Amino acid sequence: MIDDFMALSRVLTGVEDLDVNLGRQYRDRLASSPFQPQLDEILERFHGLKKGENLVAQVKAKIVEVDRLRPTVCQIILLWYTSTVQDNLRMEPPAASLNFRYGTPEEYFSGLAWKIIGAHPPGLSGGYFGHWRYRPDNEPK
Amino acid sequence: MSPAKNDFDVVIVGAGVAGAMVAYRLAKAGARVVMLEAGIRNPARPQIAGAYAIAPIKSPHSAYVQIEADAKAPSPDGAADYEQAFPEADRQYKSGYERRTGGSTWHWLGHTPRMLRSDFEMKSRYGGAKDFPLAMVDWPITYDDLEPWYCDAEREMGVAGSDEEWNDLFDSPRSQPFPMSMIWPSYSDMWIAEKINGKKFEGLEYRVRSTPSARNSSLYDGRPPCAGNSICVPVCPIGAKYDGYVHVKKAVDAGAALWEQCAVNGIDKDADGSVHTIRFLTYGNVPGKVSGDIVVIAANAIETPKLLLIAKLANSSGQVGCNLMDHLSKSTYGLAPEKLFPFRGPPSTSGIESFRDGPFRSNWAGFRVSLNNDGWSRKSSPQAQIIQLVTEKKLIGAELQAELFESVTRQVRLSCSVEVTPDHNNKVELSNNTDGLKIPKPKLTFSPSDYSLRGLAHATKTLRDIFRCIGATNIIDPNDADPRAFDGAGHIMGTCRMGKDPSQSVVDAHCRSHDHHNLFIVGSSVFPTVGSPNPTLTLAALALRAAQDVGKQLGIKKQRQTKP
Repeated sequence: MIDDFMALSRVLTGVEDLDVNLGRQYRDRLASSPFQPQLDEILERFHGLKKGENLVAQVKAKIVEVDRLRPTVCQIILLWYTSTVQDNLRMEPPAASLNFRYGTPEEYFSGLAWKIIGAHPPGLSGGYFGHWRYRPDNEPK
Repeated sequence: MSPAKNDFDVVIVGAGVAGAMVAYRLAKAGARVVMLEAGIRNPARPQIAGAYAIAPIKSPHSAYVQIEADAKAPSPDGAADYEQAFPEADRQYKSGYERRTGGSTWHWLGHTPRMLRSDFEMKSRYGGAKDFPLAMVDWPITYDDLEPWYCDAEREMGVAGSDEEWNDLFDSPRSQPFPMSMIWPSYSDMWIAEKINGKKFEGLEYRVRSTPSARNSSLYDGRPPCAGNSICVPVCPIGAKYDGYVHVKKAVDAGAALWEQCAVNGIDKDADGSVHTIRFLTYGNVPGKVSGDIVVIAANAIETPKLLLIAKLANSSGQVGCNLMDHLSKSTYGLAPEKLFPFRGPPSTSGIESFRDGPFRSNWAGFRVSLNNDGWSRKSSPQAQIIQLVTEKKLIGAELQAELFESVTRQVRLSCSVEVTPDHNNKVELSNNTDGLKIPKPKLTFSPSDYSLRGLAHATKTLRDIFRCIGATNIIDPNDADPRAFDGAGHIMGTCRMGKDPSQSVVDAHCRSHDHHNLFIVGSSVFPTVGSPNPTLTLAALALRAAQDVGKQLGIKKQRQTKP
């Protein structure tokens, strides 16, 4: 189960080196959320895909394109990118409320979105004085 | 000093930056000092940062939520938390504060521009014009009177700034260099400066300057240099940014007592008009009292008048609570034509001072412009953008990353901070409702003058022009929806104005009550007018100056200024 969740997460996030411990936490948060039934269906569909053969295109066609599954796809990405759960995603159309549910501080500081935009998690720069004067060291290529 | 007929030489109500600086100076000079603080002591910084990390809404107070303290000593976080006298959106007071040991500087941005020479002389310089507000007054002191104390406050707080950029700004010279070299401007600041420096708008020239900040650019006073963690509001996770707790600790180390969770609910007046005894309630609702030869009220510009109104003190002028001010703030958003990499460094590192002063102030308010490093986070969350890209564009994986990178890295926010004028009708009163200790809550009335709103209109036009100059697209200007709308700046000022005339002001030029010879009021409540700079440095300078006067009144011969 966790292997499928991690493999699916790699496709959805575009990040290869995902932390499996975080993955377990995110899967558990989803499993106890209103997204759980759709998560099961997504994982079942993902399990049936032919791995290695343009997996991104298959995930798009068989999962992302399905309207009733897309909010849960978005929710999985939101967790990895920002560590948040947004129940309003299941509304039609999804409401971009500011009220997100966070998990632990460790999850927050592990959000992938910051690295993707060449920044750092707010509160944890890991940088030296003045680094903001330059283009980011971790600027994606 | 007098024989010890009172419990302490000085009782200070409020352990924020003003109260703590006064306590430190006096305790260091040998006075017996106690600080009464209604709030609690904060946990360690990593815990505060952790609380912020998981807070559903990232507001300034979100890192400090503590159920008992929020009930017993409420810390309003904005318009929704107040008793507002009127329900209309454009009549709401919008700035909040922290009632915690160390005060609201826990969550301040840390910017420390000085007031200008002209800011102290508004009536003399610009009064008489048809559109000039009648309530605008001169301060009873000049820039030159306060200048040495600005230097003192900059040393105490540890201010980083550029002498070259800031000396003699609008005829307001500096007698001493900044204690530290400037906080470096961001990549975005430098890119924008290159595009706009030297260009003019409404006859005034753009020049981007690094903003002086009480934020370390090198090791100073035992605190580390800024690492650009980007959450100065609500907390610096490493203590590089100054906060009032620095001087609370110094005061305690110098011998001052600190009594926390003591919410003051009364101040007794003696037959001779002096005040000595402060009454308070602990969180357990246990009453207590403490007396001092001199009393210093150092709460903020809402809590201070609240206490004075409860105690019916210092108000022969009828001015206590009146002239509540803030700065009007507004942001405009755009996408730069190039990637500028926001979400790194302090939230704002540079600004434009050109519009703070000039003949136009006869007709409309001056303002500062801030260049910000926080993208569009105040308008929409990063999550909202991800949701839109996934649910509408159906992007995942590398495509999603590329789109996110392309759009977010070009986000720019510009903001303005506009002078608010004093107005007798903008005020703090006592509500009929009470807090968890049955102490009346403050009730606020606030509506900016046409003079300030005209300044706001010019400021937002200026932001728009800067976006034009840099070739920005996708500009979102809240003025399009409502030109009169504004945000609070978190700069709570006025309500116990300083002045020479006891019939028109609450305290004299030394922050001493006109009505009670041994009552001092420190903090931004004493500002008669506010200009457009962030107020904390000015209130710190005034507090240090008042500490000297308190010391003189106590009979302390010499007080030492200290260097870290």
